[in-house]
Amino acid sequence: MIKYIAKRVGFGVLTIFVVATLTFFLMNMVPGGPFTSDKLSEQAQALIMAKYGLDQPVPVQYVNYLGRLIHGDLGTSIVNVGYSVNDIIADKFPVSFSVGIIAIILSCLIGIPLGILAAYRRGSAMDRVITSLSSLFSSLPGFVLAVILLYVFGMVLHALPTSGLTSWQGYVLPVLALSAGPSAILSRITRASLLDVLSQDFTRFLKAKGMRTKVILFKHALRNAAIPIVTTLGPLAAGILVGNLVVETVFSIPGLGSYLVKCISQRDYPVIMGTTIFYTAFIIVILLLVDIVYCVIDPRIKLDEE
Amino acid sequence: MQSDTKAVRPASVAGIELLPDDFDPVPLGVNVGSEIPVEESIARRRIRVFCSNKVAVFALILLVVVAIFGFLGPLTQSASYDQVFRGEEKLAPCATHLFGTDEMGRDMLVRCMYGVRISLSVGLITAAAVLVIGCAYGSLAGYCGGRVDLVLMRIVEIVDSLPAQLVVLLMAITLKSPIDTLFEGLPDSFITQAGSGMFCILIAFSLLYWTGLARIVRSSVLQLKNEGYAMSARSMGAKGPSVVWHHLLPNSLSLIVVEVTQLVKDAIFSEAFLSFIGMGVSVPMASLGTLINNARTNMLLYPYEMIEPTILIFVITWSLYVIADALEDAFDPRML
Amino acid sequence: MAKQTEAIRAQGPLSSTRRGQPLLQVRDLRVSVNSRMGSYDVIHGIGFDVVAGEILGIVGESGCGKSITMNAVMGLLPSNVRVTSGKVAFRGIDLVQAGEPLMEQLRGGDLAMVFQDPMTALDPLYPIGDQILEAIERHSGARGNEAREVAIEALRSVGLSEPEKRLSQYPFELSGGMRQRVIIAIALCCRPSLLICDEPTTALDVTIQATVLDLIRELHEQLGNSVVFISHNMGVIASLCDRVTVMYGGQIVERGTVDEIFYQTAHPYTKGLLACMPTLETPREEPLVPIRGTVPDPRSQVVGCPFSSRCSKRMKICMREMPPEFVLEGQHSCACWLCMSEGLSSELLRVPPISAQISKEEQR
Repeated sequence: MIKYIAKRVGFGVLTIFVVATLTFFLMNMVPGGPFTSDKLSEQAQALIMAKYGLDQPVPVQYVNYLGRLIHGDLGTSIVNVGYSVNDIIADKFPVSFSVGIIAIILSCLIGIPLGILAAYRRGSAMDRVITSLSSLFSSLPGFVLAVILLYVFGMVLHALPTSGLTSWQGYVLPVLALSAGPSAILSRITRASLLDVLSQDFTRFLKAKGMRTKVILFKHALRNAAIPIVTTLGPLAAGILVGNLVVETVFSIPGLGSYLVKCISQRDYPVIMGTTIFYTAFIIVILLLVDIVYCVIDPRIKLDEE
Repeated sequence: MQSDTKAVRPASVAGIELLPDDFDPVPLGVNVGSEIPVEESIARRRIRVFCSNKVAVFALILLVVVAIFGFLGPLTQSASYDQVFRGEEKLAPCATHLFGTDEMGRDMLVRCMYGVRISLSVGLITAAAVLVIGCAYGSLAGYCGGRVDLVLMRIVEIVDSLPAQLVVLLMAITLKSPIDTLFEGLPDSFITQAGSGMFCILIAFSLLYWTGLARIVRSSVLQLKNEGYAMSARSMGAKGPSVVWHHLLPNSLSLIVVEVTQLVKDAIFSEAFLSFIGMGVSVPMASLGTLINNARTNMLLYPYEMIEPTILIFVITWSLYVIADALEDAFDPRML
Repeated sequence: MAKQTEAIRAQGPLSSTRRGQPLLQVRDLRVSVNSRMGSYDVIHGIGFDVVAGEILGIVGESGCGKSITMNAVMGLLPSNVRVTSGKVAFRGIDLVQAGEPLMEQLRGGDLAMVFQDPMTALDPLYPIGDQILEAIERHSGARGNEAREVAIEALRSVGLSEPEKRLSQYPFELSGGMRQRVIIAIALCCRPSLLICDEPTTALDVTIQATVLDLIRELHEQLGNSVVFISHNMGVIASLCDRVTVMYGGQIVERGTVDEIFYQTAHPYTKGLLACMPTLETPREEPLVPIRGTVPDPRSQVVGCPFSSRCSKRMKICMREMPPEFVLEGQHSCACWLCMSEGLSSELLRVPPISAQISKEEQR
């Protein structure tokens, strides 16, 4: 198992390297550089370029860039001068993370039990209601839901604050907007994989052993169905944590997502690059966690890798 | 022991009346078992299963109607998407402007039509590109196997662990200027109107979204590679690619169809999202995402501006979801 | 319901004095499948007894309804398949009417079943010890070390070496034959009075098949329980069973003792099954005779005898009416019009009503 995890970590580092290289060269493709502007004199431009090491040949820049990266330095902002990308992430990411993690937990708490219920009562009215709701919410893009929620609860009903996270009520709308889609997807996956497991031979044998439905469902079927659920949950969690750019913007949450949207309009390339690498690393960590969870759920996986 | 009863048969047994010629032999025909009903063809069965899902049929009709609205609708309208009607700004839906007008006095009906057109085009083009890339890549990996497969699948894993939305953003930024120069030489058309941002999005989607399909095709190819009919085709001298094309891909069709339908939905989602944050179509062209974003600032005063594109995008994605679901059933071999 | 289970417990394991009395009685069992095309019957009102202490074989091609019948007895039918009428009396309880809680207590306790494919019948994520212990704890009330001892004993009785070590092994660490032994151990750990084996050797290698069959026979002799053995293999049936029931198209077409079925074969279908089974005595030049055609699709409503579409001796009446079961000699009976046409018998088999002793228990 340790060998297996080591292998995954090694692969993760390789992935980050590839992403770093790609972003570096993609950014170098942008003509003119970030400081090309009519307002600045040629001399001033050259000075700034020298300050950021942009006057050196591309390969040298690349090596310098990688060298900084190995030390964990993701670069500095060129718009908010004096701020390093590390500072910005340290400042903004916890906000995004707190909203995201609540949304992930909520999605699991809503989606998985509903999926179990739908599978257990397959074909019933309950099942139909759950599957219909699931189809409804997974066809609603998160930002559309965010705007609708903002409109109904914030502006028409005045029930909840529409911006910022100053009180706990501030969390309600963004968390709902973020977790609706994933809940729908999770309930669907849970239902499908549970039905698949329940149709397998070993559930019939468990029944033939006289095991109670509760035991079959929660001890055996759910654990077997957990692998597809976890497989979906990994990218879904990554998507929630990374992909709340719009929801943060709509609800004016001072997180990394809304900051990134600002950077895009300001063309603050180092921040965009650094954040991309940070997010890649983050996704890799989540996928690694998923792999470890696999090992815990399924005893067969450990052996395959040895 | 009871052979003497042979001649004397009762008139009935267990309430079954016996006729005099009942015990005459009936030889078997040449086709034994011809009484078995002929099975319906696979395609026919798939269509029947699909049509038995009323919601899916409804969704399909809805999608066709929306597609006609988007692609043929603009032809019926005299206004264009960027035409400004002075003095008619911010109108609620009325007789002259069925969907009302926006704050610049542009007809919302026409803009919504174009928005639908953009969304569906993005979905279809992405699906087509991904279909080509994913199938080719997946069959290559599956068919070659060994080291080639290992390297190719490692690449898939790397692409899968990228933060997709951010990479699309990055690509949209960096690809913008080369595509802008490319566009300068082109005549004015729907593509140039949609803008280079749109084109970047398409490229980025094609480069990112193929992994799921490649995985499906690869595992189907691997699974089917060693089965009898592919082996027999090979032993009869069929070349690799032709085996893949004629035998393997049709067998993975079910999974591919479902994946592609979902992909169309995802691409439409992402396009709307990118247009929403201003990375998609260039102004004054409208996409459903930009329409919703524009309406956001004034949504308390002019909610219809937001409601119209929201309903349209919902109808499109919901239809695709339901259709994908029904296709999954229709292609499921276990369904009778 | 609680009373009934009390009654079962009080009776304890089947004593030898009760040997020969019917343990399971099935009467007029009808099972139908609901599909998108509508519902259709797959079992057409069959009746049979399983006598205490015997091994009853049920034989027939795939799709003839033998597994569905026994799954109906166990209450393990898939959700789209249900019993539409009939009675299944087991030790005085009508299993068709029994509620799920009572069925859960019976299954795995007094009424056990072994499935065809050992590779898929165990939960892949739990050690086998866990899977055998949960059955023991569910039915016997033994806990902790006591239950562990029972589990080890059960594994030893099926001939697994080092049973203590096996408890912590996962199913994927065992071979197919070993897994089937584990499954049999689980099925037998609570001393059931009826064990249903649904083609337990079909998915195994031939060499392992024989040892598993020996094991089932040995354990049957030790425990004195009844066994219903489902198979499409006439050879397996011949070597193992006391009595045989032949099924075709959801009906019982012939039944009798092993000798009667094998040496005085009456039904053309049974003859067909025997003709396509090679034996060492069969001369090499003599071709095996397959039964032509395939089992009729249960969805097509068959009129008359279901075998008439493939029967070389069919007559006009076969295409019109399903024959009743004619009694031949002894316990031997056969549902074929030929029995009448050839004058073998005109006496009809009358399946007796569920026996008085059991009906009495049913009333308690």
